[in-house]
Amino acid sequence: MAGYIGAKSSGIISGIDASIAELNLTDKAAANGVTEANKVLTADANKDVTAVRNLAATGNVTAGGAVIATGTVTRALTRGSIDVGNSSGVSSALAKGAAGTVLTSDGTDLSFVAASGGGEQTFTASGSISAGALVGLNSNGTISTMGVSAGAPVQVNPTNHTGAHDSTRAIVYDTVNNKTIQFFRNQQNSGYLSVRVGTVSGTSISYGTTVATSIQARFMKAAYDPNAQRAVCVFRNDSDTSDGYAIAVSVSGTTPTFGSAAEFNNDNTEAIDIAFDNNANKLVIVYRNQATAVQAKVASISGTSLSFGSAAGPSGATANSTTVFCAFDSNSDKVVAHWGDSVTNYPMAAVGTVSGTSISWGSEVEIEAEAGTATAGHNVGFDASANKTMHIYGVGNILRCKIGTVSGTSISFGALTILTAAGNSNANAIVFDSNKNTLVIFFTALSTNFGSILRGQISGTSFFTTRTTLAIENSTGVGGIVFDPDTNQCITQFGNDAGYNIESSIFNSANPAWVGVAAESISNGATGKVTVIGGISINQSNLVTGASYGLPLTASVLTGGSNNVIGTALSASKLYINVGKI
Amino acid sequence: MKTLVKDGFSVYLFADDKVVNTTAEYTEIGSPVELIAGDCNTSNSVMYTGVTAPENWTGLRYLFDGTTWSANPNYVAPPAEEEESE
Repeated sequence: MAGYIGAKSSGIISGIDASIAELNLTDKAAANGVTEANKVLTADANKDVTAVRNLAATGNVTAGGAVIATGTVTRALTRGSIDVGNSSGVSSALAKGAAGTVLTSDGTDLSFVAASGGGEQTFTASGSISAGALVGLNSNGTISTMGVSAGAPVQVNPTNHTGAHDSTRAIVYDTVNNKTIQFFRNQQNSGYLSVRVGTVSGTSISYGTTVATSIQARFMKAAYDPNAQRAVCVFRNDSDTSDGYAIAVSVSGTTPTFGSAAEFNNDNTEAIDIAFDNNANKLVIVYRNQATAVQAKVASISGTSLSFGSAAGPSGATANSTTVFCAFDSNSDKVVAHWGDSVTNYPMAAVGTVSGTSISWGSEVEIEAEAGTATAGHNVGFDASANKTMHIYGVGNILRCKIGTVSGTSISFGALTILTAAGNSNANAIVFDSNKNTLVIFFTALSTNFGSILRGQISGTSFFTTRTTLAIENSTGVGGIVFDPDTNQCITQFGNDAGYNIESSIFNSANPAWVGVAAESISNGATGKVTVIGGISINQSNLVTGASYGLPLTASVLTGGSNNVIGTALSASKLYINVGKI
Repeated sequence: MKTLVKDGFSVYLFADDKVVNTTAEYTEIGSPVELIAGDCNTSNSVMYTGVTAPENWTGLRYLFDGTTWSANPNYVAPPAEEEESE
C-alpha cells in the first residue's frame, strides 16, 4: 500500500488496516508534494519513531527507556531552584537557600545550610547534645557534651602559711564513709601531723575541723583499709629521732579520731609508702632504712592500734631518699615495690608476697637501665582493668613510664612510653579511675608549674595517653591523687607553691577529650556534625568580635578570655576554632 | 600566755584569752572551735597559765613542769625549706 491516505480536512487518519511498519510514515512534503515546515512521526521497520520536530504534548509524556536530547531540555523552575531526586526517585525542585548558605548532603538528601567555613566531622552522640555545645571524644569513639574539668581549689589547712612549705601530705579516699581523708604537716602549728576529713559535693569539697596530733611528721603517705575501716598514715617522726611511725585514723561524720602512733622502724626512715593488700586484709609498708636498704613490713590493725611483722626487703635493693613506692596488684595478689636505685638511679621493681604478718620478695628487676633517671618523681600504680602496674619516672624533664606484668614472684616490663617531654616534677602521682578504666597521672607541667593531668589506657604492655589536661591554674607541688568512686571523680592534693598552702580540688576524669563544637543538635545515639579545629562554629550568641574564647577549668560553657582558649570570635554568632586544646 | 603541756612537753602556747577546753578525749581550741588537739586530754595534759615561754618556743622543743622550762634533748629542728619530693 502506497500513496496519500486520509482526509486532510479532518486531520485524522482512520480506517487503516496496517501495522506501524507497513505505514512507513514519512515527510509530508515527500508524501503529498507540498513543502511544509512541520514533519510527522516516522516509524521504521524496527518500530522506532524518529524525525520529530517541535513535538507539543498536551498530556503526559511517558518514556519506558532513556530520553536523549541533543538540544536543550527545559522545564518550569523558579529562579535559583535546582532539580534533585526525591524520596520517590523522581526529580523535584529544591529551592535556593538563603544568602550565604551552602549546599550540603546528609548522606541521603541535599539541603542548603549556613556556611561553617569547613572543618566539620560527623560523630555519634552519647547523651543528647545541643547545637553550639563544646563536645569531647569518649574512649569508645562517641562524643559527649564537655562538663566542668575541675573544681575550684579548696585550702585543706585553714591556717595560711607565710614561709616554709607544707611539703608533706597524704590523701586517701574512705570508701566506707565516702569521705576524703587528708593528712598534712601543719607548719604553722609546730609541724604537727594534722588531718581533715572532706565531703565531696559536685565539684567542691567541704571540710570538718582540723584535728592535730602532737607529732612532728614528714615523709607522709597513707592508705585506706576498708576491712578495718581505718586510714593509716605512715611518716617519719621528727619527734622521735626520725624513726618510722604509723598511725590509724577512724572517721565519724567529718571528725577524725587518731589511734596511738606506733613505731615500725627504729632508725632514720625516709621514702615511705603504704598499700592495702585486699587479699590478706593487711597493710604493707615499704620504706628505705638508714642504710638505704629497701625494706617492708606487714601492718595489722586491731581497733585503733597497729602492730607490725618482721622487716624484709628485696635482696640487695637500695634506694634513693625519695623514691620508694608501692602498689597492690589485686590480680596476682602481690605487692609491687618501685624505687630508684641508690647507686645507678635506675628505676627498679620487685614483687612481694604477704603471708600472715610476713612478706617475702622476689628478685629486684631493672625497669630501665637509664643512667639519667631523676632521683625524684617516681611512682607506681595498678590498673585493675588491664591487671598491670604502671611505673613512672623522669629523665631530665621527660616523664616516662613502663607497664609491668606480674608473673609469680617476678615482674616484666613492656616498651618505654614517653608521657610528656615537659613534665617530670619532683613528685608525680597515679590513680586508677575504675569508672573509665583509665590511669590518671597528676604532675607539674614544666613551662607553667601548673598542676596537669595525663589520662590513658593500657593495651597489651604499652600505655596510650591522651594529651595533657590542665587541672590546676596555679604553681603546684604534687601531693597525691585519689579516685572517688561515689562521684566518679578524682581528688587532687597539692601544695600551692604561690601561697605555700595545701589545697585540694576535684578533677573530672570522666570528662571527654575536647574535639570541637556541635554544629547542630544531636540526639543520644544519633550522628551529627561537629565543627573542629579549622572550622567556624556559627551557632554561638553574644560573642564579642575579636575576643578569645575557651573553656576554663571550672566552666562548662564557652567563656571569654580563659586559659583553655579554642578560638576567636568573628562575630556575635561565629567562632573561628583556630587554636587550642582543653 | 598559757601553755598546754602533754606528758611533760609544752605542745601549745596560747594567748591568755584564747578559749581552750580540754576533755577526757581531746582538747578544743578557739571559740568557735578552730582546731582540735586530738591527742591532748585530761589524762595526759595540763594547762599552765601566766607563763613566759622561751623566745624560740615551738611545740615539743621544751619541757615545762609548771615552773621551769628545759630543752627537749630529742628535739630535731625541721629543715628551713623542705623538699617537695617527699
